[in-house]
Amino acid sequence: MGQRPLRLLVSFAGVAIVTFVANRLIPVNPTTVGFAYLLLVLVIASAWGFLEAALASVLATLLFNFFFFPPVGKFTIADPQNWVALFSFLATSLIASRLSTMAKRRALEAMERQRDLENLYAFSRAMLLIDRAAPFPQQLLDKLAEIFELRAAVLFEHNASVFYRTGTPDIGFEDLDGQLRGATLHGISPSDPKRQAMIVAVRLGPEPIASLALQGGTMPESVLQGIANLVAIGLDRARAQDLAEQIEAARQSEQLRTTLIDAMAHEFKTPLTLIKAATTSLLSSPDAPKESRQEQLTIADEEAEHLRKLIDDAVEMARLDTTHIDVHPQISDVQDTIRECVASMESEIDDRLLEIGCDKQPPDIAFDRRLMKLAIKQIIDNALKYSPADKPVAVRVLASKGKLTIEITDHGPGIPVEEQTRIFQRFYRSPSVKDQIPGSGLGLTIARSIAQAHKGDLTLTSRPGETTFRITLPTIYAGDKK
Amino acid sequence: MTAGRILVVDDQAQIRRFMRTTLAGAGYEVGDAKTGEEALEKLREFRPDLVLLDVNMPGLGGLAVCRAIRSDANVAIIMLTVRNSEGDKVAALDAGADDFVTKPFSTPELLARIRAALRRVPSPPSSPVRFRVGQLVVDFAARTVANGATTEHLTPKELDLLRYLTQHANEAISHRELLQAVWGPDYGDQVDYLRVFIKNLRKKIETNPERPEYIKTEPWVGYRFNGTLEPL
Repeated sequence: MGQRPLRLLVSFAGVAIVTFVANRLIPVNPTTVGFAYLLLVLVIASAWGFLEAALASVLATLLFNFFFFPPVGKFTIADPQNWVALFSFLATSLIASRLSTMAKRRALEAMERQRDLENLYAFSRAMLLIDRAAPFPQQLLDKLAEIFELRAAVLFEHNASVFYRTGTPDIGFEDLDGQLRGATLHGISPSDPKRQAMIVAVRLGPEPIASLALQGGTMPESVLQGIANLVAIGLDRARAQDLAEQIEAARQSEQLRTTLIDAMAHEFKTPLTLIKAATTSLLSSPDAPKESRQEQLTIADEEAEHLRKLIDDAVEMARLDTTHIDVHPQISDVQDTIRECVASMESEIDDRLLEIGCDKQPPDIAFDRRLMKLAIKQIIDNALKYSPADKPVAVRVLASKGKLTIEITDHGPGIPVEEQTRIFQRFYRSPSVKDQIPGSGLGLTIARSIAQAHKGDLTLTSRPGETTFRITLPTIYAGDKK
Repeated sequence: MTAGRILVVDDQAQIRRFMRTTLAGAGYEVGDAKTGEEALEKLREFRPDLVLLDVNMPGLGGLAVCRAIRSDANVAIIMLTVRNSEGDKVAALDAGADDFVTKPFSTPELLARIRAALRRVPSPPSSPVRFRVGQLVVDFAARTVANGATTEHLTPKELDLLRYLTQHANEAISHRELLQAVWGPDYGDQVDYLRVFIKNLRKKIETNPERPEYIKTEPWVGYRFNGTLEPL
């Protein structure tokens, strides 16, 4: 048995019970009975709706007439006043049930609208949380279908001419595709009652950028338009983000290129200049004193070596920066490595005072000598570059339980707190030194990457007059590799 | 007797080392300085004839050092630069350098430029050392020019240029002739040098450098010094 017949039966039973009680059990006057009927009809109207209430009130009118208006037991009425009373009763009950049904429907509508609003809000929030793991439109569509409980949804992105689908539609997706294309092209939102799919054009301003087909849910036009607007905003945001990322990537690679070229111009020119100066001098004056010739040859030789190292470093920097770091650890003495580093930096150190110290003989640990030298060199080079020529630079090795620390301290002006994290960013160079001291903005980034690739870290403490960079390496890491 | 005294200013040890041995080999007496500040100190005690100055130095940059030297000394200056753009050349010459050499350079070229910078336009005994032209008073002995109340010092090359122009007063002199006379035989095509030096010279002697009264431009030819010299 369906719901409506059951409700009707219950309504009629209610009317019958009132009639029975008033007629047989507790004899009352017709006014009281009338009010009892009215009350019942109102309850039915507010609980179930107009149809049930109307039929109940018609039945109640008939029974009212039959049992309570003289002549009792007949459907006729003697007193014309009673006719008026009877019709008043019928009209009142019909109007009241109509009103109560309307109020109920309004409440229902309001609830639906609230649900729609909540869904739209949930959708807009979900949209903001979409990550870049999968294509944005696909994620958007999945969220849409999930939140609005749709059976299927299709999004056609006009620019890329791509369809995104989710769910299983009653009809083929293919049938929808043509309509979606049309909707985007003409910017219209055709209704499609026979397929029960809602199709809406997604516009950004006047320009249609996509279209959307939704199946398996009903929603008012305004909500559909709201969804279309949100999708438009979402797609536009994704597009802007893509563009920003592309620009950022282009900017980064452009910056890497100019940085490397700048570094070459700065660093390579000096050895090249000296080699050329020495060789041209030797070629043009073959009878110069032997000592002078010898000195020029020595300089050319040293600078050729210097150039080779610079090229190695530049290649290393470019390579390290773009790919992840491959560590080839071998058990080594940290102090030895530092000494090798310092020895290779003869021309940078020049006549600067460089103190190398060590608490006690540190344990040998496993690390990639080549990489670690590169990292230490970067930091020593920075310490030399950014501190006055008459101030010493100190390199110390400290061993403690579980870790080994290499400290490089200079007595330069210090690094302001607000820059202490930024200096590790790729290409960041402090505005205070940018134009005075050549550099690439890559050194610390690379040094930290190297330390972290060894499961260690590179940190710093700085105050005016003293800056210390610390490379910490876990000694446990050595054990892993043995 | 050396060929001259040269102060090498460069922050890079190897460059200083190379210059010391090479310039000493060519017969110059060489001093060196690591920074601009040190160069300005050494300038007083070493009294060089020429300063070989690196443009890119930490601290006081090469151009600033050049201007500082120019403000109180008549020493010749050659700048060493790594860049090779028109703007940098002009900046170096504008700062008061007599010449510049772009790294990497060849040593014979550097030596030739040093010789050119140290070269002086010979002054025939007949030509006056002090003279007046209109309102302008030129004193080659004191290396000054005075136009009305303002007196300006001339750099060696400016002095040579003015000397050559006044020796041939009222004659049109070609760019090439001027360049070769003042800088040397290799400089015939360096018209941009001439442009910068004439501009600087005009600033010092002309009342209105935009409408020169003394150093006139001869279109397509060169320059002409206009006026009658009255020895003082």
